[in-house]
Amino acid sequence: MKKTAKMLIASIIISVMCFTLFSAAYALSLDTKGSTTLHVADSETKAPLVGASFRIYFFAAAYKSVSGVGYDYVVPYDDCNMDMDDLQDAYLPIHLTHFANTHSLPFTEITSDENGYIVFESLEPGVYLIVPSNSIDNYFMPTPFVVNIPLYDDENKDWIYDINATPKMRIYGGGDKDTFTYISVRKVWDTYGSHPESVTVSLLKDFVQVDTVELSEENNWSFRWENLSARHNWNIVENVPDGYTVSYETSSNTVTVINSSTSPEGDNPPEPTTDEEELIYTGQLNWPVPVFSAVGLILFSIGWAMLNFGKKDEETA
Amino acid sequence: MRNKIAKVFMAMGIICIGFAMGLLLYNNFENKKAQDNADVLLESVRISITEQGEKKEPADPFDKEMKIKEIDGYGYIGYLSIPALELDLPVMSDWDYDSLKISPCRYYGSTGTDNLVIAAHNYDSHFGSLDNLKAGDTVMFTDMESKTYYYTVTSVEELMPTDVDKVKDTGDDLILYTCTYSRAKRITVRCSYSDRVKINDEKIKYNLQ
Repeated sequence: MKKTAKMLIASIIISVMCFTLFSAAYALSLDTKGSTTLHVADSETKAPLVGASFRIYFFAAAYKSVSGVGYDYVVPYDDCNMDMDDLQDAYLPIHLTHFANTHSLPFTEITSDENGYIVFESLEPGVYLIVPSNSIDNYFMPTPFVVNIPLYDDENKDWIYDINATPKMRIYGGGDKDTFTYISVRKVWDTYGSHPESVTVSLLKDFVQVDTVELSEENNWSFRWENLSARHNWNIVENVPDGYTVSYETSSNTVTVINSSTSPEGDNPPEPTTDEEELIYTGQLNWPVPVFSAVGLILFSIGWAMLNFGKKDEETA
Repeated sequence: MRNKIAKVFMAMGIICIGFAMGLLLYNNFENKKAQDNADVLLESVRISITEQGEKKEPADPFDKEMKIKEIDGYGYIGYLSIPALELDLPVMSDWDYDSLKISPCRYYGSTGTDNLVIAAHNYDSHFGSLDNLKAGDTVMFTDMESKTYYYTVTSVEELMPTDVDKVKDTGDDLILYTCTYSRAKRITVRCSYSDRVKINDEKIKYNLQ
């Protein structure tokens, strides 16, 4: 059946890992511009796919660091509330795609030519988000991914400024028959003390928001979407509350959204544990049955006694 | 006046009893539904395991991830058998509160890393009688690759809801837990591997650990 989440994760990893590094290598210079070439082709047959459009967003600038190159978010991506410590984090491109969409951030869009190639040129050193903007018939929409320029080539001990990448283009294998999947979200607070009473999370269909749900104690900080067409990618991102950063963990079809506080007091635990780190509630609401039965019987008995003894008193009088 | 107060008491009493009866009926309905779900899904999981066995795909001994099979939109990792409680229950790969209404769920870990934790509702048909287990009882878990793990119960205890660190990576090979009747605590059953692992219903391999 629907292995969307597994396939999604796999496609993210493969997309990110599919870079074929080559071409001109240089000594480290942040004045040198680079390029990214995408080869859009069927992942099985390698046949080029014409008419696939991709957008590129510049979201982090490069700077020289002790270890080589570091990257800092550029404005307004510095408000995206997701740490950029790990550029291989499969959920970073998805979170950034949602951020760029909801903030209508600038991009450059190019469509693949007759050989399936797209070339983004004259790219300043930094980190770029590459997002598909249309779907091709019978193909899953490939997953957004990030490219950093320059990239260190361990083998040749040099910096590469011209990057090749191959988005994963998989044919939907279900034929004409629709199959369905689900995705569920769980919210976890990795912080101490108080936190917002609710957060909103968005359901993304092929990386575009299609629904929003509020998570709070009322729904046990969890929600599940069902009957989702398995022809599409389904993801969940959080609209992160101010003062928090987000990270995501995925397992099967479940996304766990974890918020950490960015304020100093959020890092200092006042108590050894937090109420969010609880074992799950697996109990039926049973205790009111005997309690309310007993209370009800007592009340009824008192009333009955008052009524009957009252009558007897009146008769005696 | 006295009569009025008496009637108010009686009315409140009837309301309380009515509420209790309504809740009892609702809980029984949920119990029944959980039982039906478990019966149907257990059969599906078993069929799926059998089909998997017929394919004779060798399991990767180095793969710590458990194989997950999707049935009716939910992923399953196998089924749990507790002979002492006459229970056979499917186990979902991930938990959320909707899933828990259908079947026990993996809360943490895997058989590959010897730290599987399974949580379930305290429905009569799920883990409602978990506290009847005692040290020495046998628990079996059969994964989707038709491999059956045998465990022996080592202890049964009650934990506070905040005792997360007492179920994750504790050194126990398998932990089962559910809420107490009052929901204030968690009945927790710790198990360790017994001396055998049954593979594909054909041969029994003795674990010499």
